[in-house]
Amino acid sequence: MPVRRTLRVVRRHWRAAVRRAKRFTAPARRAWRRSLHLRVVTLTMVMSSLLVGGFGWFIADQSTKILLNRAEDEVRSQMAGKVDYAYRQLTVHRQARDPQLPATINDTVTRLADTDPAESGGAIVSLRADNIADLKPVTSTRADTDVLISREMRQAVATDSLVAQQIRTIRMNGEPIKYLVYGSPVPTSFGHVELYYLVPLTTEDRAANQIRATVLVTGLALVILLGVVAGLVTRMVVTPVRVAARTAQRLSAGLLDQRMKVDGEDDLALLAASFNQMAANLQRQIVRLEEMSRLQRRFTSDVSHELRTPLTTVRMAADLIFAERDEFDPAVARSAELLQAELDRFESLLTDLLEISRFDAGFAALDAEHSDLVPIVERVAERLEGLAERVGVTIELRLPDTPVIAEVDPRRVERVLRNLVGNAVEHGERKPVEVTMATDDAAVAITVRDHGVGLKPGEERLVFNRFWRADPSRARQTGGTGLGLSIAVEDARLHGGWLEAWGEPGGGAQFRLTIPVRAGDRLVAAPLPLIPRDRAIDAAPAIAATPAATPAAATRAITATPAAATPAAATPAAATPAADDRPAVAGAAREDNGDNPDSGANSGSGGTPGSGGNPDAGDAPKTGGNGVGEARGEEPAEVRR
Amino acid sequence: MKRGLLAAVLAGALALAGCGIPDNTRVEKIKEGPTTGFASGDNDAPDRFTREDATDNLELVQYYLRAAAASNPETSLKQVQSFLSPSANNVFKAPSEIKVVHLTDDPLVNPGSDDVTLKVVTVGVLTSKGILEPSQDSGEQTYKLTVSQITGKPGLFVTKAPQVMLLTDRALQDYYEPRTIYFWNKDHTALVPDVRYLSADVPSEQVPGQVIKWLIDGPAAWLADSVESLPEGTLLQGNVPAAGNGKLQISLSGQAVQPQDDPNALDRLRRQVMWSLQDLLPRVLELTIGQDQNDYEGTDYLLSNASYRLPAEPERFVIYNQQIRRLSQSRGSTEAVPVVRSAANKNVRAAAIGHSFSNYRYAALVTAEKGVNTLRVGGAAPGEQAGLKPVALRGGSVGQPVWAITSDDAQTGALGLITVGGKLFSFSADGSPLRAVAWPGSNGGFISAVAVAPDGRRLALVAGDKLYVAALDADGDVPELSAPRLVQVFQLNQVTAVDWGTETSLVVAGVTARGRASIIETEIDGTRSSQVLADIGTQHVTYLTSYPVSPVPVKQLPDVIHYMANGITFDALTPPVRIGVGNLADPVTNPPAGVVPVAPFFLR
Repeated sequence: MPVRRTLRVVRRHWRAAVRRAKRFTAPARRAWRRSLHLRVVTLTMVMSSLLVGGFGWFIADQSTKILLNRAEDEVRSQMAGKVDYAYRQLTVHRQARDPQLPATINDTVTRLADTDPAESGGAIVSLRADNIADLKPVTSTRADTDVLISREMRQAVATDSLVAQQIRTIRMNGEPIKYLVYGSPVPTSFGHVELYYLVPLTTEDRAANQIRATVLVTGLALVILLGVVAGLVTRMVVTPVRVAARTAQRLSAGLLDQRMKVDGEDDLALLAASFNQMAANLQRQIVRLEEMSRLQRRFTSDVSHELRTPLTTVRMAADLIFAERDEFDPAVARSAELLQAELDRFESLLTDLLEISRFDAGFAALDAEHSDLVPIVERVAERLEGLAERVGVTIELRLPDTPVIAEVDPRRVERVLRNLVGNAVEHGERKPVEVTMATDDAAVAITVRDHGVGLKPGEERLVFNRFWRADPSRARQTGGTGLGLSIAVEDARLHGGWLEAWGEPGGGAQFRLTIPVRAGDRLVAAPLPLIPRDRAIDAAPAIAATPAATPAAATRAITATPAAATPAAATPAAATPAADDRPAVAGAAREDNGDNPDSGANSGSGGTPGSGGNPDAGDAPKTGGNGVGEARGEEPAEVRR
Repeated sequence: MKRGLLAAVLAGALALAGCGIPDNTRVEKIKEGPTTGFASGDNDAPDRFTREDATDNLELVQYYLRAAAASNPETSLKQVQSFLSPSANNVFKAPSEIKVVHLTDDPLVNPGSDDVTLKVVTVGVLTSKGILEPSQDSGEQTYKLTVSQITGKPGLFVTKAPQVMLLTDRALQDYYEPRTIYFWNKDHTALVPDVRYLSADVPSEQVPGQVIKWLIDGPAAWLADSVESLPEGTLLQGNVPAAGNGKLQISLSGQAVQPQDDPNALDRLRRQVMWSLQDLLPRVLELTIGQDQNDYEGTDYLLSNASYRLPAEPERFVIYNQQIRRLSQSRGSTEAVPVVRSAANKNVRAAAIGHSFSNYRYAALVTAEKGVNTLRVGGAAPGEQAGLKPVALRGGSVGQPVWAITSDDAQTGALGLITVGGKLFSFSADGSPLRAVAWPGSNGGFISAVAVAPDGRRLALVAGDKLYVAALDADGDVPELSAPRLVQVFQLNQVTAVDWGTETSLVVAGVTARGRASIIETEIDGTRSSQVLADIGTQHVTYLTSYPVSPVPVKQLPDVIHYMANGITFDALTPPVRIGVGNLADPVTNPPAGVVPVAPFFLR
């Protein structure tokens, strides 16, 4: 259909034009959004333009009307005399065929034109007899009055016997000249003839134009003046606000000693004073809180170190007892085994605490080297094979055939992977755990997928909190400190990478570790999707997480993508969140650049799922010593979450 | 949002731009047009006869001789040509003037012949300005026409015609209206009539305009030296509208009054206009000169016409027993004879007493003492007498003296005329010698009588038994006559006496073809005449005087006509009544036998 095709073309061009216009106007729109100054000035000018325009229009219109009315009155009074004269002159002719009639008409027109007042210079008198075929129109000048005296006018005057007027314009010597055309029938004994009086409105038109120009110029000047005044006034107000905004930005950037200049006693000075007072209070509070936080971390670190010494002692004693357990009666032997196991857990906990406190204190350093990640993954899988067999889970590796070389700290990467795979095995529900690795030029991604109970909506963020657990009442199967994922996140962050989680109730969960190939590079995309391919149909757009890490967003170590943007919420599984204790809402937790020391502290109130043993940590026998948990990271079979 | 601002400013500018005077508007109806029409007068135009109306050759010729009557030369020519056959039309080259003729006999149409013979006397030539100019033709003329049918065309045609547009005097009366317009004499003492002929085709609404145009065009040629034309540059502004609301509006250019702002000049002008439009004037005349507009009403203007000024009843005088005597049954019959002292009232043969505008009296007496004729002249205020100064008269028979110009100012005096020995002489009131008044051109013959019109500028003369009219130009050192116009008086073979009956007509006495004395009344151009006394015997009228009547109301005949025949004075009543001693105001006891009243005259 040509019409439809044409419409399509038009629509396409229209859209292109709109896009182009949007592109061109983008700077202006941005300026409009950002500048209060511009908005106030613009609105002032627009409003004043409308007001002044309306007022100016009214003035000019009224002036024109007055000028026109005056001209019309003048013409009307002139015309009355002229019609009377013409009437009297024509009384001597009884018949239109009177041979003297044309002479009388000529004389009358000449006379009427001659007796015109000087101010109506250029006026034209025309006597026509449109109802009498033989009489030719007579005009006082050579001007072509057929144009000026319109057909409608002739109809009104000649046919309808009306006195009528009309304004007409003709071009004379290239100049348009407006004429007020006034026509009246002149009764005679042979019907009536028509007298037209055409007065140029040159003077009135010039006056109207001058008034209009004056009004226009005055109005424009007024609008510009108002704009300037509005600009100055707004500037007086906006400048201190901008200073306040800049000061606030610097404050928020950590320059807590920034203050505004207090000038005068007006409202803006009050604003500056109040702002300064607020800044001072904030500074005081922040310093206090920083001090408290520092004390808390110091306390944790100190406690961990202090506990390690007695724990070492207890450990040695326990090792001795454990080694000799066979010689004890079974009940004591059992106790010895329990003691040994809990001590292991206690030691792990201490190690993790120490590791966390190292992160918190900012002592953690990346010992990066070019390493092949494939053996690391294989090693982790191999070490967790035993645990997997115990819980009836198989670990499936999907690794590239070629080495995957990246500039990483292999110990930390292994710890992260061990943690993830261990968690997956633990929550695998006897279903296979898949470990997948992929790489591109910039990044390496490793996903760990289980098919267990999954995560409830929102939990994909909580899982990285310290001591968080999904179900505190759930019986622990393996030992866990509740700090594993927190440490893993810190490790990933240390690499400049991401650690993210996805899960849905009953659908299992998947964790993805993404690390840049070159240390220090900024991540842009991951080679593997966070949401498993078997679930991605419903939730493909969920991976909207972009690595745009603005300074403002850096206050949170883990940033969740907007939950509302996760279409997985609309999956059938999501409709029954209570079906399982592992919600199936897809989520993404992404590590940021990690320069905020409080990143983990603010959400660390929860327990790690399945880490119900945490409160029991204190039950572990003290072995003395405050050993650092570096060695604990090497422990193969433990999965911490 | 700079664009928004720009748009707003532009919109404002456009809005302002839109509120100027629009280039074109719709037709705005103000009101209904004026509907005041006017009732056109209905002057019935006389019947016209076309070629198709004629049933025979005679009728066709009669109609043909009427065809030239029209309001303008073009129409005249067209109407005349409508009678001509195409071939005659092609060769017809007539001057635009119309020759007014008097048929001396009926057109001669011989049965069986196409030829028609006309015997005519030319009365005058009617110009486009309505003036009947005197013709160069004298005596009877013969015109031959051929009338026949043309194959393929109905009716009769004039197939051969003289190269002139002819109009009979009868048709002139039928299709034209004589109108008198007036010009001031050079002294501004009286308006001088000038007769024009207005076509009956001219609608009554256009008559005032036509009259004003005639006035502007100036007087007829024969009056031109005796009267004052309107000032150079006088123009009629537009038409003279039909009178409405009792007002006639005339607008003339500012030059009409010279010198400008002269109230006397303006007054003269309006009197001249009012007299010229006398029968057409509504209540008010609105006369606009340039920009000045004046309304005139009333009848005071009438006094500007000397004919009107004359009292209705004349003071009649006769010479009885060589004395001036008043006649009874006339105005002032009990009063003394004006100017002339009783002692001087003797040996009088003829006399004339005139009066000026302010009634200053002038007397001129022809006395005969011991066979020597002397003219005695003098002037005096009313009721007073004065001594008379003698003026010598030499050279033959002396006629009746007449006063022509009578001035209010005694020093300026007055001018009179008298025939002596067949020649015309002028005399003045101061007693200076007679001065001959030359007869222009060839000798007209023996001047036997002279009569002066009431305006004092027009003369009627009997010279060589023929009647003439002429104008008197008294401006120069010597009074002069304009070229005399012969007045055709068809009823009379010989004219013996004349006087003015009205301001435009004469009372003429003469001898008819049958040799009988007759008194007739004729227009001064001879276009119309009627008999007053058709037959008063065989005794020729030697002297005639009449007392002119006022033009208002219109009369054709004077009330009082006296004449002398065979030495006896008659009052021209019907029948004529002899004036005897018994008619004198002062009774005469023992009248001498054989002495009768002679040489009657009127104070005028």
